Amino acid sequence: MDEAAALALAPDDASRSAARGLAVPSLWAEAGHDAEAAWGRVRGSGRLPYRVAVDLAGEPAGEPAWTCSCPSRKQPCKHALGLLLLVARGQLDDGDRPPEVEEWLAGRAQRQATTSGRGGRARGGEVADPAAQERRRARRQANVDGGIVDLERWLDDLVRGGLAVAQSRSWASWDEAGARLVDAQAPGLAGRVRALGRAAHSGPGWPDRMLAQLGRLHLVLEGWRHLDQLPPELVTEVRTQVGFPTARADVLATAPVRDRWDVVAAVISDDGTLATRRVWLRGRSIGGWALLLDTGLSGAAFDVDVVVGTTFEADVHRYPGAVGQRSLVGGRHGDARPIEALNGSEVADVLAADAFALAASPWVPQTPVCVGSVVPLVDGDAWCLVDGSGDGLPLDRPSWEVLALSGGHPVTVVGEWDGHRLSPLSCFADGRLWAVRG
Amino acid sequence: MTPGPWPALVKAALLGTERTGRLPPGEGPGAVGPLVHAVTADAARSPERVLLAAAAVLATARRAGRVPDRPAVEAPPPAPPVDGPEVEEDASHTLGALVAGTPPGAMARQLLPEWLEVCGATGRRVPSAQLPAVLDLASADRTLRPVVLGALGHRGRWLAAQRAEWRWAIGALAGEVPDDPAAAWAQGTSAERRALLAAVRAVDPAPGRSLVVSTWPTDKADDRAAFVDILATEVSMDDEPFLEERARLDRARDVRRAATAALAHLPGSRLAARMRERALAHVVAGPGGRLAVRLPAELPDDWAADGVERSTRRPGGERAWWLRQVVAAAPLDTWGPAPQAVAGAAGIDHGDALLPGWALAANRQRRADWAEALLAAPAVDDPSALLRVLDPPARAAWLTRALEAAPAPRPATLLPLCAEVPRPWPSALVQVAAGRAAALVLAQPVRAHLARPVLVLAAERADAAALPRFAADLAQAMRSDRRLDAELRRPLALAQLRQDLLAELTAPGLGHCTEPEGA
Repeated sequence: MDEAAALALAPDDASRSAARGLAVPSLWAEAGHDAEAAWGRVRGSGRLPYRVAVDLAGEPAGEPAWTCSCPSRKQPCKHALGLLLLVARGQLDDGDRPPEVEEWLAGRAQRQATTSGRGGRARGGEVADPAAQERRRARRQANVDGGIVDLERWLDDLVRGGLAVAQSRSWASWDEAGARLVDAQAPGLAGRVRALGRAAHSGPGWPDRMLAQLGRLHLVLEGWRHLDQLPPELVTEVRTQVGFPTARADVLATAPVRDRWDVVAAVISDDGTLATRRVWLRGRSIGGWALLLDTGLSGAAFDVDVVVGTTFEADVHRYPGAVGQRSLVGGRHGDARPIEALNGSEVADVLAADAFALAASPWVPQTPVCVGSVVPLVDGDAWCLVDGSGDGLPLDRPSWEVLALSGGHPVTVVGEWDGHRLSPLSCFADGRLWAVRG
Repeated sequence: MTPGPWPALVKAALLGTERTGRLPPGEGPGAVGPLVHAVTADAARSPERVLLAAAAVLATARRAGRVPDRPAVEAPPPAPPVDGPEVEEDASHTLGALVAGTPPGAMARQLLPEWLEVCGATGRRVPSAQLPAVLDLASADRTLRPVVLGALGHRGRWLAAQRAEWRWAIGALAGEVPDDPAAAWAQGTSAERRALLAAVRAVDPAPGRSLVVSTWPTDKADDRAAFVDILATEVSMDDEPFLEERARLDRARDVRRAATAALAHLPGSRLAARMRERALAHVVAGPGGRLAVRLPAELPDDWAADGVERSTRRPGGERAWWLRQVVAAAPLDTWGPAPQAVAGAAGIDHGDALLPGWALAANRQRRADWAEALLAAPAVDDPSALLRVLDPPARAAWLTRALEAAPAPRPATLLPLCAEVPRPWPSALVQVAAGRAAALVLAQPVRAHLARPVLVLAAERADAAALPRFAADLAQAMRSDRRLDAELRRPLALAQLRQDLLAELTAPGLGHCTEPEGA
């Protein structure tokens, strides 16, 4: 890519001139690039420097992709453009990717795509040499195998010493173990290892949560070891759990599910490195759930193309896997409208659906839940939702907003159930769906 | 939660296999049993892998086999049907921004009270989902409570009853006055007792006084003085005997001083009557109502006993200062009608003993006629204090007249008085205050700091009907003179935001609901 091509990506003149001002190596820290990506930190108006990364893989045939922790909604922002200009001018050093950039690239999951869903841009790999592709695949496989052997040894040590000892480890030690797995191209496992560290410090009841997570992590590894004996959809599931990306194009090539989809909940989590957004859609006629998962560097703004409380008709393509919640929205048919009614299930049915999902995949982290006709109940610090038959689901935190919306009358609540507690995300009351603060 | 092998497994995991060794082959509940047995009895697995495999099976089984909770607590009675419509969606967004301090609310948090007031006054209510944030805010900031109460509706009051921190919203001051004030009074810290006394006095003055009397002989001097200060707000003749016969004769000087200050608010008090006699002995009316002042040579002992203090650093001399204190505590009716008395004191010797004394007395005795007469006098010390004695429409009217009549340099001293006029400012005041402020910016740029707050106040407080013209005038002024641009940008933005806010709030969406709120 040359300078003109980089500048041609700018959304307007202001971004173009701002980017030229930022394309000065001395303004950047920890900046570098390799064949596929460029990254760096640049000081902006915020307190912390913005972290920018660009996926160059589309070059030269297509457009690069980018992410930046600045709040600008311009695509690309001036920081990403500035970084591209530095690449174009050859002013960046070769270097090793920082872990978060590696993870972002892995999470983008469309790196092997030959075409993209949006605008169908061609990727450089379209006419890739099959032999080279096979070599890459084998290299990754070996890399992952090595990472998993290390992880098994690490797990054995942890269990031998006991959870009580493991709890006193520093935060950094969990992150280091995670970073090693990112290096081994197993970002899914990296996430689970980091989650162990969080579980160890999650307050009363932590040993139960940590042991359950250890068991599920072990189950991924057992699955990996016996991949040849598993049915195809579980093979895909295990590979996804390890962190093998599924090409976006492959997903979009699957047969779509056309339905009217209600956007019922969204949750953004930010661990200081990566920001993740989960958006839950619920199909009206098939009654199924679809999960839209986006990641970006910490602080980055997400697209506002799906708005909680609206409904639209669209083709949804499902990622392969045993439960098949993760999805992409393909073609849309017509505009989004406000949701005017939302019915939910009883508590017993919600738990049955969770068991059903677990039967398909024991790694389902959270089951989306839409419970209808429930009343919030407060017992000191313990909150729960109770349905008409007296069945209750505990909440993970006090939710005064749900209580305010209900006024003690039955309402419909959407949230995520992790097997222990329900995290409420939105509430349907007074004829509309209200997002509830996270 | 579920009895069975899980707790034992957690215990083993906590200790580590190094200490516990290999798990014994085990069984699980129901259909999981054989699977648990298969993994625990598998000799090919290391002790660590046996534990991990058992955890995998049991954790999944526990989650899959989860049964609903059966909560034992009773739900509170549901809220009564909603009364009045919620505000429209745009208004709800604005409220969210004002509460969270995000744009455009970031620059205009001070508009929140008005939002709530208009919301309540037009029979609408805060959207249910925003009630917790609004109740939280008013729990921390008492000044918001009156306007919040009007905008809560049945739902808001129902919600407030569910949380101890929000109980202030149901039944005036419940939650602040404990069930047994006497016990709290006897046991509280100094700060707690002062807060308790203020809360009790606000509900009913007499029990508050009884609390003070109940422990008076044993309380520390600084507590006694603080209690008397609290009694002085909303003081009445019912308090006079205690203040006159006990607090005024206290052994501690601070307590005596607080008591005489409190008694000076009561023109019917015995102290005021004594002050009247003293004042009349030193101020006599001459021909044409002209007053003559004779200063005391020494501070008489009985004056000092009633709280008249010495001071060598007073302008006009210490002797005038003694008399001033006497005048400030004497009933204003001593002097006949205010305008004649003020006119009779103009330009006389030792007039500085009279005018400031009257000003303080007008404030203590809440006498608007005296405040107006004194504001008209040429040199008043503290016009803000006098203006506060007037009711808001009278303040606006006086300030409008004063600004209109003021020669060029005067607005600089009058403009700060704008802060004493609460919302809504009538159109005439908005026009003249903003006009004079803008003129001051142009004529004396060094004094622009005096004009700036007035322009912001005008934007915040202009009557809704006066806002469009105000905004148009500002825009016009900015176009006509670039020097005004920087000064007027913020008031203009604020005025526009307020116009939008009021339009959103009163938008005829669901129709006006003027139904009065029942209990």
